[in-house]
Amino acid sequence: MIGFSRAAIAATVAALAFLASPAAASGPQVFQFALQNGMQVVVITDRRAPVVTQMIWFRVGGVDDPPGLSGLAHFFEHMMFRGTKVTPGDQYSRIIARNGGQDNAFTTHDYTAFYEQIAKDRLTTVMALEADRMANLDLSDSNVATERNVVLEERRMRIDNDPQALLVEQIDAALNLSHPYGRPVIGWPEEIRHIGRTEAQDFYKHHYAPNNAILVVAGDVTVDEVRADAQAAFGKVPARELVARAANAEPPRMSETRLAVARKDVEVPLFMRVYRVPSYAEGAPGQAEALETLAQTMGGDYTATLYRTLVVERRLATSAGASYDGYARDAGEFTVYAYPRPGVPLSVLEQAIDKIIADYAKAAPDARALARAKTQLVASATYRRDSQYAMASAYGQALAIGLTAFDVRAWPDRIQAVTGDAVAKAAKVSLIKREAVSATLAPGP
Amino acid sequence: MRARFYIACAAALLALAPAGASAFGAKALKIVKGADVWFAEDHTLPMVAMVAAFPAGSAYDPKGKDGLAEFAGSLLDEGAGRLNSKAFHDALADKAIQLSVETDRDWMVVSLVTLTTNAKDAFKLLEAALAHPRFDADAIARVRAQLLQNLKQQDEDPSEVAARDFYQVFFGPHPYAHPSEGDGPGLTSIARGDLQRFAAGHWVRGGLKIAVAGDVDTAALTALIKSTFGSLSGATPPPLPRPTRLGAPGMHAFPMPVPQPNAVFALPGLLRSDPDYLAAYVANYILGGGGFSSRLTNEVREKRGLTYDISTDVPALRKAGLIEGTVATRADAMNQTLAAVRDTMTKFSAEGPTVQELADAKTYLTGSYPLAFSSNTGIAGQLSAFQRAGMPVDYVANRNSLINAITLDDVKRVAKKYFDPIRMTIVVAGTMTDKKH
Repeated sequence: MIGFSRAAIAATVAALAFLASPAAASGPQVFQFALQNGMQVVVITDRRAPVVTQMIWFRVGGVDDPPGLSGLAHFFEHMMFRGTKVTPGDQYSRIIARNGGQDNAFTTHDYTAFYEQIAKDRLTTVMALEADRMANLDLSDSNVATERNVVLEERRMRIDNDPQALLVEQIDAALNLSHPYGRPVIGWPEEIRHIGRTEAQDFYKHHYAPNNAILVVAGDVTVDEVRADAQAAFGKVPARELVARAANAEPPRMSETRLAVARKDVEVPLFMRVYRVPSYAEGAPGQAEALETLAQTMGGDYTATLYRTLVVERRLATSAGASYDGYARDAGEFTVYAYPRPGVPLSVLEQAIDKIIADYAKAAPDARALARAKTQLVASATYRRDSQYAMASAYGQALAIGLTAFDVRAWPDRIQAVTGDAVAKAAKVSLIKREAVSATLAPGP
Repeated sequence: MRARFYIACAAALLALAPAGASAFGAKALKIVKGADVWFAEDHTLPMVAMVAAFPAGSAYDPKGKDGLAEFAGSLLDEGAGRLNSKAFHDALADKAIQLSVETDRDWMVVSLVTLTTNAKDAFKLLEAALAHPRFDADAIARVRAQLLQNLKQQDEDPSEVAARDFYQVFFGPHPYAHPSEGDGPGLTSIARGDLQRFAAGHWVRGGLKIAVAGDVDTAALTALIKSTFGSLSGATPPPLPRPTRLGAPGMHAFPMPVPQPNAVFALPGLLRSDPDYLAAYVANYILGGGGFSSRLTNEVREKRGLTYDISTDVPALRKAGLIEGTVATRADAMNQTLAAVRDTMTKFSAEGPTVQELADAKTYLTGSYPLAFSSNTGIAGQLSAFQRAGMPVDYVANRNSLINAITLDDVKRVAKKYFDPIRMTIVVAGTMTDKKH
């Protein structure tokens, strides 16, 4: 894991890094600097339309929920829209809308992000609003009970109404023996009900400050404009002593865990296995890129091994795939899944998947398949440049988990450098059942 | 996430429209007979995005073959010309060409995204897919199994069940009624000949709408469009019938064992060609389209905490307009929630919006318009949506001034005429346990 100090305040201002290659001169260019209060700033220029995307990423998320209060980080994200003395009540989103802007926010285990998209001449307006609620949030009059009910409805919509989401929640809980990645970001229902105003206030005080934040501005701007505007809006917000994130243990697992879930709301059976694997932040150089390439060639699309073998050739499944989620501060996850054709037992699917994984661990994949997987991954970085939001997200997410802007830029080259042997090694070293939860979902009483 | 949708309007600060709100446009090209081509050129990034919409939606499914349009569309990347399914998928993936298809009630919408260096290959593959589909037996069997399983998976999800049942109830005998994903008997009975006939009759130049954005010039695009679409049939599918009645007022409940029932509520609305459509669009923003500033979000979510997401829309199908909303809440609060929806709509219909609400709606709707034009894929998608709505190309530039011209009287008149919930059709998927209000 790449270490960095959350409480440290950057001492120097404007260590400007020019990160774009000359070859990309017509596309987005990326700059990075820091304010004296420790706030990091990334600027991505894209002059095609007179609009900007502002994102603020705080290095706080579900892992920082206190014991017994799972869901607090996410609940607090909702409370950030509840007003300050200057912008009371629900005026935050209303002001942005009447200026032609759109805004929203999201929370994960590792970070919480807020964003606005708006005409470029309104950037200073949304900067002032974000700076105000970073320091002056006022929860004294807000109705905590109503918002708790809203969050419980959000949970019903995303999780409780959806047997597959419930299965994933159970898998994560079983996969993490001790680490808070095992708690759902949205929270367990009975713990959401325990969240109150005091807990929200404390959470704000301990985690929301410029020295825990990354500002990303993408769009029709220059780095000089953003530096001046960010200094004016956020520069005056003082750094704060933060409560450091707990160094959570990830004890090695000694055995595979198996879950067999049967529910009456299930119509279509599913086999899913999730491995705990190294992330971009904690893996050795090249390890995460090898896992990314492995996931793409094993299960990323219709040409991948899982789909070709299980769906097309053996006709055991209607769909099958693999994915790698490596953008985490601690462990990442590697997922394989398949939906059976009617009448095919899940155990048959699992055996077929095991065989494919074993083959990957034995030898380098077919050269054309490997090249195709890398072509697709590298092209995804080019396609990402089409979207201000996707570009801002890539940089914000990387910095929020302890990577650098250089890592984002170097990613396509690092993917190109992945060898067939590295892919085989990733399968052999990381896809081990001891570090996995294997789960089945089936119709039941 | 705080909300699935975007946010909106009212009160305090600046009332000026943001700058740069009309700094974009598109040009219309006539390249092949029968097809409209709109084009926005930009060489910033080495990529091209195209959206092509064919009059090949599920409303054209023959009797007893529900799901034919969807089935055919799902086979578009499953083999063409000399390439079987495997070879076709390889050819796309080797060049990172993204080809996707979505079928709705009116249209089959084909999206193509490619790097500039692979543009010729991408359009060539699309030409083969449209003009020379193979419909091989193994691909048909595989996709049929997938589509049937999709239907079963939808049965787990009350939002899918509510949407599906809503269209059945609201459109009755009209071809918009059946789900575009089809049904079990339909998908099971569809044969290779049905797919071939459908593709021959509907993957055609007549009524085709093509929108392109990105790194290509007019000469190169003209050649690509000619070679891709020129060989398709020039026939135009016959127009769909207009529904004779819309809606089935009252409550229609479809019980299922879920903790959070989902409701769809709707009234007959306006066709896109109706001179009052934009006024209804603005009215809808104020009532339920505008996220956090909408009256319904304020009443049902912010004040009462009854839902995470309530929204309304004014979808315009080619032959029918709707005023349609969705809301989800816990089993013991659905009747209470629907009563709040009804009260809010009754008041809105009777009184219309306030001066401030109208002003805020206009600054949002016009100010946020350029956001749709910030990427090649976004531009192609927006242009295609306008094409399908039957707008002329200068609508791209004129749209904001048309919205600004709408008066308070316009919105009040439309609110009164169309937004009264008294004859609302309500479909609930799930089991309601609270008392009727």
